[in-house]
Amino acid sequence: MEKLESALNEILKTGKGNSILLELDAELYFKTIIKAIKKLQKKGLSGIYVSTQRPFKNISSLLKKEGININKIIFIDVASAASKEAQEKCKGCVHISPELDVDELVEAIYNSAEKMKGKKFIFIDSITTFALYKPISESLRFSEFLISQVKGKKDIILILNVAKDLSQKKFIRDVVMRADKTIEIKD
Amino acid sequence: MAQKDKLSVGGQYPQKSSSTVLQQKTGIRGLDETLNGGIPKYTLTLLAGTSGTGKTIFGFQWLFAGVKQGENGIYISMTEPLFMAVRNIESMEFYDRKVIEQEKLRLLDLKEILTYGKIDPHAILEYIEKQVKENNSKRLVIDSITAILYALNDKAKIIQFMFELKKLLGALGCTTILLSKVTEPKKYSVYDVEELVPDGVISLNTSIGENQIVRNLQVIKMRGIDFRSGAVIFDIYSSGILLYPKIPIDRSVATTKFKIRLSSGIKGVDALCDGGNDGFPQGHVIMVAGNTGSGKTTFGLHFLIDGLKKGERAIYIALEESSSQIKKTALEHGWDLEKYEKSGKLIFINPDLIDLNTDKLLYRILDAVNKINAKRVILDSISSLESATMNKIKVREFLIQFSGFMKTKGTTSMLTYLSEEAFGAESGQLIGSGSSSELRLSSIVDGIILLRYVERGQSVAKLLNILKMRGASHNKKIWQFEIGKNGVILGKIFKR
Repeated sequence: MEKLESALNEILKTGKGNSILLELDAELYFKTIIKAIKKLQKKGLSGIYVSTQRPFKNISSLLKKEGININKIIFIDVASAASKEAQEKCKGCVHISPELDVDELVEAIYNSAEKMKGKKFIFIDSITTFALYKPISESLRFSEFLISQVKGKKDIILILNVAKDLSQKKFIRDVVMRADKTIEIKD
Repeated sequence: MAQKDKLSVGGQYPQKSSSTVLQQKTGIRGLDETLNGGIPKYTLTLLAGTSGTGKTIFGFQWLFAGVKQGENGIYISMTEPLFMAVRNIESMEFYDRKVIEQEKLRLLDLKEILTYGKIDPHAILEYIEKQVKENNSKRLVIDSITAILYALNDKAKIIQFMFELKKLLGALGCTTILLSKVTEPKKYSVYDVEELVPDGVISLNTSIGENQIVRNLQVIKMRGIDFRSGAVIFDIYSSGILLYPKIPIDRSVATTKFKIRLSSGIKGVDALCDGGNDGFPQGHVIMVAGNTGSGKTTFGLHFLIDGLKKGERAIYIALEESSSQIKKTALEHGWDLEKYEKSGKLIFINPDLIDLNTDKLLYRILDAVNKINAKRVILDSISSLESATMNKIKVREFLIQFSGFMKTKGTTSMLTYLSEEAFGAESGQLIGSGSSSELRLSSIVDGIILLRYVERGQSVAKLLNILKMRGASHNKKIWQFEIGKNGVILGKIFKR
């Protein structure tokens, strides 16, 4: 966890190396996400949270309970689209279509980022889950596009989550090796 | 070292020398046969080709085949985004997502190293070494080496890098294929030195056909093994790359059986083949030659339906007409070929005659014969093959291989041939009127049945005679025949 804190501090200070791949254990998964977002919000960053695992209502209430200001986050609800659940219009949430089209998702991220002023973060939770729904090439395209888009931009931090305990985690780690930093959270 | 050729029943090309070189099956059908067993292990091979020749598919197919054989692999992308390379193979049948997820095939993207900052060849070598060791990889593809070489941009440095790469990977027990993008089909490299270091060089090329791209592969060098030189046609299907090398036929294992006879299906004709034994010897290649409309196809259909009715399986290669037309014609005689086709006892091969390649056609025929263990094959006609290819030498080569294969399988075949002569049967002309083409093919086939016309008053009559039937004491007389509702009806001996 210290590694993550120091990495975030460094990015916030220098603006360099702004894409991070987070390898997370299942037990530490949520705790780490909370800590990272809290830290970023404390530094005045607003953000985009791409949720592939939990629908908007679930993830937003969980984050709110943990003291995170969800008004400063735009959620992109991939989970509801993936499970083909009904998508209610909610303030602060962007839905995408059930096809999980990468271009549509990227456009949603881009448009959401446009609406935010100042420094911001993009939290992809998680690439591992996204890869379960899409061909490997599309998962590669998605991560490659995001990493290349934020490279060199001092006002954006990109965090890509990878679940350590899933079978394909190594593959994911390798394909997003172009992220500036890979941080493994163990304890 | 060489593995038995899976594609042929006949055997394999002779080896120039014995060798103890270990070879690695490529998993690319036809390539192992071309290489007499596969790529030598622990070697470095340069796979050169212009854009769109299939280098990346080749690389991935080889890697996935390795995993199936228990050999982990690594694919390193140096130029194109990794997702583009992967997207191209996701629809291929050899693609297996689990193999990537389980890291038996590791995908790596190294183009960043070349795009940003100066190239450090040692860092690349160290990185590759680390990855190969970590993954215990036995196969590695670098796509493409050209990108690194452009970055090095110095012939001496390029050679040194290639030597170090070869030494490193050989020591690690890893067999490597370096993809080389070239701009001219006859080149193997950009700097003209890359091909000096690798143990093997394979070139992929394309040329423009009338209706499609014609692809060919040529093994330029492959140290330590004897390989088949010369260009080999290949295609890319959803199953992957498929080569069509010349099929080695061991002519010493011909299984012609003179005591087992196959009926022509025409009453009276069998007896003409050999007085005592009726029909064609099993394994014989019979050519039915004749003028247009003389009944060649009907002879073929008789032979076909006779076998099918006896429970044998058969192949009909329809080059003259479409298979649907053949079926309609057969139905007019009361023969329902559709029924046999649906039950899997009959396979029609109806290739596109534009850009027809005889090697590819031969593979289709062999596959079909092997698939259903066909006992009879009808090829209608050799003349169409000649017209389609405009190359009589190629057709002759095709027939030599065709005949050799059928003999090793013990399959009896009937080939039809359109005679160049229009009308024959003038006095003293009959026997001598076989065209020069027919006579050139005579050495390839075992039997020749000549069909022709003779003017009789205001009409023409049809005649047949058996010109040749190897190993049989065939009837030498000229016979009249007619074609009616029930097919061919043999008549009397022709009298002038």
